[in-house]
Amino acid sequence: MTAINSRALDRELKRGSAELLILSLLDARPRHGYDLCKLIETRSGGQLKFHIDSLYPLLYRLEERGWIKGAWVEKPDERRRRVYRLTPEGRRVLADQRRTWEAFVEAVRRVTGGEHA
Amino acid sequence: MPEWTEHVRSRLSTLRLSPTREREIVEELSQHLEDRWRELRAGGACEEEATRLALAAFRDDSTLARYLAPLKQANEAAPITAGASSGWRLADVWQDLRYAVRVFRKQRAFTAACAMTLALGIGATSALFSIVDAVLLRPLPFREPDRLVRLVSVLHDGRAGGISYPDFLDWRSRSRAVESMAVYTPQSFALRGPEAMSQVRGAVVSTDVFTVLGARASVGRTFLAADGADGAAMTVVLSDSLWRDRFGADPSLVGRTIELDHRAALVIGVMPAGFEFPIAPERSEFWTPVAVADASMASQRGVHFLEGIARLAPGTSIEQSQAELGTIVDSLNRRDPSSEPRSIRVRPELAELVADVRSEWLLLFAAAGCLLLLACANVVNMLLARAASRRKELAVRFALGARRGRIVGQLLTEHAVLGAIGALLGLVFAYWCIVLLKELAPPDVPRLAQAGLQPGVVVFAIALSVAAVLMFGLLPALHASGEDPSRIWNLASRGRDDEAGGRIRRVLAVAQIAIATVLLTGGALLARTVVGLQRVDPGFSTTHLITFRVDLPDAYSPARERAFYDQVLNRLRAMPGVRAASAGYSVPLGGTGFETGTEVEGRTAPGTHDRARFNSVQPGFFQSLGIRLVAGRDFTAHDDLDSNAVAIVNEAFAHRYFPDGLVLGRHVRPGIGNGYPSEPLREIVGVVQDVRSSDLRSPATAEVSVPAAQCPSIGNSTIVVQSAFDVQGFARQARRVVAGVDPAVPVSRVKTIEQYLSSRMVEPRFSSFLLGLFAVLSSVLAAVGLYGLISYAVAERTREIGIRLALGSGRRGVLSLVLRQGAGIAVAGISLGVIAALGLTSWMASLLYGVGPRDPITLAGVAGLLFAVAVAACAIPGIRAMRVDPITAIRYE
Repeated sequence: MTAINSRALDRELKRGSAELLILSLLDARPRHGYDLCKLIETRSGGQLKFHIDSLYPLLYRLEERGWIKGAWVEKPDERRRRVYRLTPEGRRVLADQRRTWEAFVEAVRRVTGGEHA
Repeated sequence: MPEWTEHVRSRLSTLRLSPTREREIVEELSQHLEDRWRELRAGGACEEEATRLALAAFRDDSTLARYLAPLKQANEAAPITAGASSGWRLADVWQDLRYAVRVFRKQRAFTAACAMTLALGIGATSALFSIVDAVLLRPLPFREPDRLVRLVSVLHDGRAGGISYPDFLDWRSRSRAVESMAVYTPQSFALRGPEAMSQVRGAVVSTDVFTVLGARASVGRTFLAADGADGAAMTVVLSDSLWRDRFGADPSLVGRTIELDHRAALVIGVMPAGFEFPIAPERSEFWTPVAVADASMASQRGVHFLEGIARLAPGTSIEQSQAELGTIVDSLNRRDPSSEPRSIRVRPELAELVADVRSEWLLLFAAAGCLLLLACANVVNMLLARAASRRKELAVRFALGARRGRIVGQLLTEHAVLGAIGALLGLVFAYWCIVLLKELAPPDVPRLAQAGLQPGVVVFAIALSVAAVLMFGLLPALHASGEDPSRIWNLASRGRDDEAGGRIRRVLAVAQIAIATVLLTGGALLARTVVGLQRVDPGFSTTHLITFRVDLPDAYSPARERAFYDQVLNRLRAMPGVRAASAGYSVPLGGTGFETGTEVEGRTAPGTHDRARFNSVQPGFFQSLGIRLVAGRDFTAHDDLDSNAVAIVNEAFAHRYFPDGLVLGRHVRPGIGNGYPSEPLREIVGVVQDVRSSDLRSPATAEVSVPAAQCPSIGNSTIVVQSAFDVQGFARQARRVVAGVDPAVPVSRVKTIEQYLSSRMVEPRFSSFLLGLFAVLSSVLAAVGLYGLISYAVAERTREIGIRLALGSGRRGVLSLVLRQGAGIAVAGISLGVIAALGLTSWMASLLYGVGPRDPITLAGVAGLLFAVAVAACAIPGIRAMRVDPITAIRYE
């Protein structure tokens, strides 16, 4: 699998798979933007990379839709950070998107796997 | 560590984020960059390298903004800066409105003063407009009212006379310019009710009157030509209210007969509710054909007692119909040279209907308009004074970059809010004014009852307030905004008015005083008219006189008529407390009475047509009314159809025809010959003092009276009783006395002679009261305006006054300085006002009595009064100036 270039990721953003990534990561626990960025990069083995100017507009969009909720959290001896958590509405959307994604992946696998078999 | 915020902020600059949100985003993204930078440093990168790599997290300079742009938070409205344009007009207006309300809330007294002043002007003008609209302007309630014209028969001396029925028939048969034509006159009839006879006002009409008006019956039918033919049975059409009130809206009444004036009249129809004709304060409750109901009058060409109305043929002008009818009347004059030549005048019906009240109401409307102008001038003055004190605020806003148009807009909005408050209060005020005016107005104003707060009046009030806003709003707004900001700041910090503002305010004060002068002159002239009328000696006794009317059936013979009056008068004279009782066809100022062509032996050539007022009276009539017998004798019971025909003339008659003073024994032939084969030559046996018979304003004209016994069947008489009874109690007794003689004779209009007199005073009293009220209000407004101007001037010159005092100028000198300034304005205003009054009051000449429209005493009095008021208004700030402490005043700056 070749590295997904940024142009392709843009398309993915538009298509909504980037939303799925964010919502999935927030499903486990609340995280701040930099945290999300790093997790996506490391867990994808460096294959997926978010630019700062793509990530934050996406977060804000999800927030405006009411799927996630950001809040400033202060810790002693640290600068305050904005931490995002999943809302109940976001959780429902995530479940939907996961099902769609799995169905899609399964469909792709069947098609592509069939050729190889 | 590098500073990240600028890198983020520069990428957000094209978005419309709220400042708070922008700060948050900058913080969040800077945090991200910092985290990345620290990580890179921890991984061994040098500072420069770490910074470069951290910033590489941005793809380019524009993506962030491009991705954020569709979000809601990036599209919030720009923050509000007072006076700055938001670029969206409605938002500007809303912002201005809120600002205006805030400003007025803070300055409650100022707002109340402005709004009340404005409400006064708008209220008075709207109230008068509603009446002018209802009475003068509204179209008549008939089909195509523009085609309705009044036909007026004009006597050779230019006065309007009546139309005779035979003349009308000739006009109608010959005219092509009018589509239809009718004649009518209001007349009271005795209507038999369930219990007693009562007088009901109706109208005798020609049968085509409803065709002319384009009106149809709601039940039954209106007249056919056959209903007015010779020998036709008497028919009647009832008004809706008479049908409901007297006959319980019984539909089966149509086709049955009722008793009118002791005759059976067949009810053929009922007019719809609201139908009114003739349009008069006293409504007609039924209509009956004149040719049947009043056949003897209708058959005589010489009896001119009807009024004419016509509907012009489509496309015919008034001038065309006038020309055609004029030719017809001329040919009738030639055909019958023995009768008095007449001409005809065709006028629009509406104009003719309101001709008598037109000038009075227009005058009052104009006066209310003047009051509004004054009110606006006062408000402008107040706003200009406030504008001067608000300079600092405006200067600050100019300095912050507000555009001129924006400031004008905001000031105009403030004034519009003020105008709206004024209009609202004004409408409330107008409502009560209308109620009051209807109560106080003379009873003879047609259609007054229809005046009210109609939609048209509300529109008018709103239009007025818009006009007022533009008038009092634009001037101060443009003035306040048209200046160089630095100069404004300068003036503002010194607390001084500028020259232009001061000039406008002085001009306004002069104009106010001028308008007040005009109104006060009008009011004073009308007040003097009332006084003049009250001083008029009417020539008859004005106290302890009660009159009432009796209507004898047409069927009474001359002998029975005489016996009726003898019995009634004898019974009245026998009542305790009655000093005298008599009767006559017309009593002075009673509204009845007519003139007839009168030949005077040796003085008028046969065939000429001198006219004299005619009356038919019972013996003792003059004495009962307190009218002095100057020469000869009164009529007696012996002056009847069997004895010598006699007459009594008044002094005006005697002076006109017999300047040598030899009157008694001369002969006169009035044009009424009831009881004789032809008009008899009568011997003048007495001369009585002149009285004001028809009108308090007009001097007595030639008058001839004849004994009632020598002029039977002339019609309803008025009985005069000299006693100190109270009217209500007497009315019952009078009815009992009359019923004792003939229960079928109705008694009506029981009134004292004072009531006749005061009814003649209602109109001049009313207009003088109203104009006087406007005049007083306008003087107060003008005085307040002047007071404000001078107070402001004194406040402005406090320092100068202080210096003058410090340099040894006397306190009296300071007072005279201030008074001189006010007096100059007052003199300018009064002079202008007097010039305007000289031009304008001639318009009201017809309303005046005993005083000329350019009466110098009135003008001088008004000028003196206003000058005194003006000086008094200036004296208050003048005294304040006198008390200025020089040390405080100089230290002030």
